[in-house]
Formats: sequence, C-alpha cells, structure tokens
Amino acid sequence: MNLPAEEALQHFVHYAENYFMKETWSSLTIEQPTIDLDYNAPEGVQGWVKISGLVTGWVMFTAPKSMVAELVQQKLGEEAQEGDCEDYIKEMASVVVSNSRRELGAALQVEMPNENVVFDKMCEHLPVFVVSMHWQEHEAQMVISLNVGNV
Amino acid sequence: MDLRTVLETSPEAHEKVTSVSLRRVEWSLFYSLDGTKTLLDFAHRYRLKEVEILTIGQSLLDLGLAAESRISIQTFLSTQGLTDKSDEKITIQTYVSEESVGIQPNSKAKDELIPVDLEWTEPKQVTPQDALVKKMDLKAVITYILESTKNPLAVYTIFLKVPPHLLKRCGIKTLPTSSKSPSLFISDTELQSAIMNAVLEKIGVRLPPYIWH
Repeated sequence: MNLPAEEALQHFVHYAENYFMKETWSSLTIEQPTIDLDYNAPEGVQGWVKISGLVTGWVMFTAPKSMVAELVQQKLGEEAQEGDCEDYIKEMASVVVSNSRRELGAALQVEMPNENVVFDKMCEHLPVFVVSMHWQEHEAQMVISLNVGNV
Repeated sequence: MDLRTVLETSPEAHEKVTSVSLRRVEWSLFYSLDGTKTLLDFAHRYRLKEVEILTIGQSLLDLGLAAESRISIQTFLSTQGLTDKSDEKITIQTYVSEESVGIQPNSKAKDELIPVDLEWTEPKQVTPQDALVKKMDLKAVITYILESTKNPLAVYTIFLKVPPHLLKRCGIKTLPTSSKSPSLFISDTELQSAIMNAVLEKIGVRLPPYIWH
C-alpha cells in the first residue's frame, strides 16, 4: 500500500495526463521522472499551487510560452492575449491538484501562492520530483516539491 | 562462540554503526560479514591468530553490530567448498576456463588471501568514515527500492529523507527513478548511512548485501 506522499504524487501525474487529454484531445508522452537536487526552471511560463494537509509542499507546471499559447488558442479559439498564458498555466496547476482531492479527500488543501514568490527559490536546496511531459513538439514539466517532515 | 561460528550484520547495525569507533581490522571484518563465512575463514583471510579473530567477533557481538547466523548444512558446505562435485558433469569450456585460472574443482582458490593493512597493534581508534572500505552502488539501491515498492515515486520520498548536501558533495545533482541508469558508486560513509536509514525508515527493509562492492 502506498503512503500518502506517493499516493498524492501518483494522482498528480494521473490528473496531469487527464487534463491534457480533456483540453487537447491528444495525449502526453511522459518521461521517466527524475529527482533534481539543484532545480532551475527552464525558460517559459509557470504556475504553481501550495498544498497542505495530507502532504505539504508545492506543485508547479512550467512550459514554453509557445506551447501554452497553442493551448490557449485551442481553448478560446483565438490568439492568446497578454497574461492569458500565465493565467492558463496557473489554472492548470490548480485544476490538476484540486482534482486529486477526489481520491485524496479534503485532507489535501490547495492554496494559490503569493504572486511574489519565486518557485526556484522556494525549492532551493530541496530535492524536487521532475516529470517531463512531451506534447507535440513541446516539452513541459510538472515539478513537485514536498516537505521532508511529512513524507 | 568458536571458530566455526558464522556471523552476519545485525538488524540494528545500521543504527549503531555511526556511534561506535572500531579498529580498521574490526571495520574491515564487519563489512565482510555475509552470513556464510566462519570466523576461521576470516582468520585465514586476514591472517589473524585464532584468539584475535575470536576477540573481534565477540567485540562485534557485544556492540550489537553482528549476530550469529543460522545457515543450513548445505549452505555451509557449499561456502566451504566441501560439497562433492566429483560426479558433476561440465563442458570442456568450463573445465578449460577453470584450469586456465588455476581453479581446481573443489578448491578454495576463489577465497584468495587479501592483503590488508591490519594495524593490529596500533591503538588509534578510527571512525566509520575513515574505515569503510565498501562502495554503495546507487543504481542497485534504486533498483532494490523499485523492486520492493513497485513504485518509482517511493524513490523520491526516500531520497527526500537524505540530506541534499550529502548527495551534492558527492557530485550528485540528479537521481533517476528507474533502474535503467548508469551505475554510480558512493564511498562517502555519511551518505551511505543516510541512504540506509532512509530506506529502513520509509519501507522498513535493510538494503541487501549485493548493493555493496
């Protein structure tokens, strides 16, 4: 039986795949995850949420702006405007983690972070779990950083 | 306890190993314990007197680092090279390869003597960090975690328990979560202990002997 942290991670990956399937009608290719001890987010747009309760930490999505612009266009049927890409990826992070509550229950709480917080700084010196996801010719990442105390 | 006693590392050894100081020869013996060799074997291997190996064995038992191992007679005989292989049929290739490296059927040639700097009379006490001689195969550790948990995510939660600075000082910046990765050997004893403790704490198992080289 999985422990809460592993169970949560499994659901995050599962719902990320689901999200893309629903939004784009096409699937993601997911690479074997790695654990990164010195993570630097690649250039692009980022959206993350803070989780607490069952496990505490952060879940972040990062993707090239061109990829998110395509996703926005598919969703809205028009070109992405200023701020659309940032809003889209924040929503993606929030939806993926919130959907995991279906299995994990209300014990998992999701909060939107302070706008001024920089993800790279939050997980500095902490190992993060990096799942690289390929969609069409783009590569996005889901990055999970859990606090050591409750895993 | 006598010279036929077979010792293995005790289940609580991983906890005690960081808090004791032993002589080099004692650490060397401790990390050679595999639950199959008798104290007499080790006496030959390390060129120790019988009384010396008995003293070391007793010392490891008293410190809780070692425990007496119970093995079947078949295992004992096979590790001693005493099983009768005279009727065993082998190919000419096997026969020639054994002959070319000088191994006779039923011989103990594989148990070669290893020159060890024993410093038997040296009173200096050394720490585990100074004395460990074995390297931990990180790929084998990850493979073992995957086999035990059937879950790559467990690799992450286990390594969250390992202080990142220990990994970084060994030049490790990323860790795979699959067994399809190149081997990486760790000789940093503090990191070895941290990994052993994290595995025990998270999945309640001790790492198997084959992860050591």
